[in-house]
Amino acid sequence: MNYWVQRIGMALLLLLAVSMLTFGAMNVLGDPLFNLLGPVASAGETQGTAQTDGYAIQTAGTAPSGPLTIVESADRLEADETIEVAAGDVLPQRADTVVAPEFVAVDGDVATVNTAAVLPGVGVINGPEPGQLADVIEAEQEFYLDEPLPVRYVRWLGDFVTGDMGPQFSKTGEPPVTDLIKERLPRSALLLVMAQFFATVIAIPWALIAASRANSPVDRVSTFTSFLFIALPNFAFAIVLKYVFSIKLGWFPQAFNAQDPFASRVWQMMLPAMTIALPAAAVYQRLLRTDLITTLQEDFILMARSKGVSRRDVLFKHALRPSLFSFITVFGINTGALIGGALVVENIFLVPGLGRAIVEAVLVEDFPVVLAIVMIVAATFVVVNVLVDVVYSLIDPRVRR
Amino acid sequence: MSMETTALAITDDAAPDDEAVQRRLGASFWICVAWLVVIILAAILAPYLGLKDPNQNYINRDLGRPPYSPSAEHWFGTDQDARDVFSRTIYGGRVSLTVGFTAIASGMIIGGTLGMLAGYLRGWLDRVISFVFLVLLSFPALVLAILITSLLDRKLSTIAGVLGFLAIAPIGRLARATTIQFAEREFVLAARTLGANRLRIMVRELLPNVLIPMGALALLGMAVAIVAEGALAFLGLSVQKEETWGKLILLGAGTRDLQEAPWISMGPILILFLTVLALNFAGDKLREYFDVREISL
Repeated sequence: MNYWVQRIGMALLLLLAVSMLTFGAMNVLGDPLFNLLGPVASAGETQGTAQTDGYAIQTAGTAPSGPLTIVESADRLEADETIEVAAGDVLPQRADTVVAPEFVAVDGDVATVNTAAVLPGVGVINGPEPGQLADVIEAEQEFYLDEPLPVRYVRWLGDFVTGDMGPQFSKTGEPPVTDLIKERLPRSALLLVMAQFFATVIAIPWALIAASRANSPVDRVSTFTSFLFIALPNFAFAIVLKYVFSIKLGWFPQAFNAQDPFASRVWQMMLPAMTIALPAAAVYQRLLRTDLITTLQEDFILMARSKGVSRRDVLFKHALRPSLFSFITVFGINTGALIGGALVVENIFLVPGLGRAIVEAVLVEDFPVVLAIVMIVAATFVVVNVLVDVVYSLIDPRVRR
Repeated sequence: MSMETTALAITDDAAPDDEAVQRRLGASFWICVAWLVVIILAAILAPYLGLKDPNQNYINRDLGRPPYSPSAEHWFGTDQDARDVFSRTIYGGRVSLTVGFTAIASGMIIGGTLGMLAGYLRGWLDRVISFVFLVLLSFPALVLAILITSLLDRKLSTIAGVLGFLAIAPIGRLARATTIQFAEREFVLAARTLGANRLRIMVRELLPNVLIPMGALALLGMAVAIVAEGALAFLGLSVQKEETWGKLILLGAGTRDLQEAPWISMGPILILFLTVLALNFAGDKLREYFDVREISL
């Protein structure tokens, strides 16, 4: 019992550390407001310069020479307060700061800005729509941006755990991230489960054949084959498989169709699953073969053989189970690598799973989506490893000490 | 041929003859090294090899619209813009190999230092460093790379830095395990008895012993880094400006391109595969040669 408390506590601690790292990286390396809201100011469309560091939009006018940079840490101004800025100076205010030329009086090097003009939604020429500015304020509340980082993290974690992953900001009217994940996750999960299933189904007989004929030509060929599979990068393998089986031979469909019935979706998933499964099978085979060879040298195997148990029965009934331990460990550890591989492979076989979603999100810098997917994947990985521990200790109670 | 045989050799104590056979690197190792030398030299000397300009469009009116299939003129054919795939692959190798090398070098310096400190000094420092390694390892590596590269810019140095960062934990764990293993040995004790301080023991006594397994791991790690760069390219997160192998393969990976002009992706795949295979094989052989056991790979 104590062992399980310790083990689960460790997993939770790891998950916390992982989420802290992820969220921290997003907030420290990136820019929280930009990350959460995306290019609200639609920088590309304004005529002036948009400073990503400070969100200032210099609109079509040329009033103060040089870009107006606005520092996010500065306080807000009162309405109608007037301040003086030199060209290139910093203005207080945040993403909603948009200065229309009419509100800037230029006197030599010094521009005076009437801050009535920098209130949200006022004096926008080519900047964001007033509606978007409302989004900014809303998001600041939604993501607790005025709180310090630790508080923000705790609140975000609370939201995340209760299933609120925030909005997508890539296009208007997209469903919240939670819905996107609900739609995409089952496809990626199916891919991963199929891949691990095939990997195991291929690896065990492969290892049994190789181990029972250790160092024979068959074994040497199989060792070399597994080496090739392990060395071959998964994206390259995916392209080769797609070219040969899908395009040249036409055995498998070229794309995944989410509307098809389950059976045909599984069929469409075969090629991507095999892309991941074959290298994984090679890894497992390699390990299992070594362990099997070691087990086959044990005395109890010799004993069984001398009692007249057939080779096959010795392999299946006596040698396999004690050889499975390191296979199970690696099965868990390898899941992480396979998830990474699945993200890439999905993109080649056009499977609209999490891998596609993360690429689409990265392209438009949709960080809530990236964050959610990273968190889910990391959590899955940690959970799978705990499960592996459970299975492990069921097979071998000694682990619990 | 690979590590199973090593494992066998370790368990099989009663076979000294086998041991002698194992301690040779063999012709296949040197073939791999030769390939690596060729590809690295080609990458370094690319501008002086008389290759076609990788950015020039070699439109040929007789052949109609590009892409053109492989020919004596264009060994690997040309891409959709009639650029020479072979020369682009060689030029792409410059970036891919640089990324791989820088990544693994920085990973070795930082991870090796941390791992040795943790393994030699032990105590709370060891606990902290080990936990950090554990956290880093509990991310699927690619996901961590996605996270960081999507937040930072996509300059060559950033990508290499991110991949190097990812190499810290596995390399560090190996360094830590090896250090612990050697810290108990007689020659370290002797040095300590002679009055050598900790720094001297770490640099003069432990470092050379830690470097050997790390060197073998470095070749494997470089292969992993090159592949990881390719995977990032497929996620739209690779180096922005320069061409890399990953980006070149991606360029020809569309269904239509595979149908009509498979050579656009197959050329770079071939070179990438041979290089990664050679790195893996050479690394494996080295590990076998130096009898590095599989400590936490």
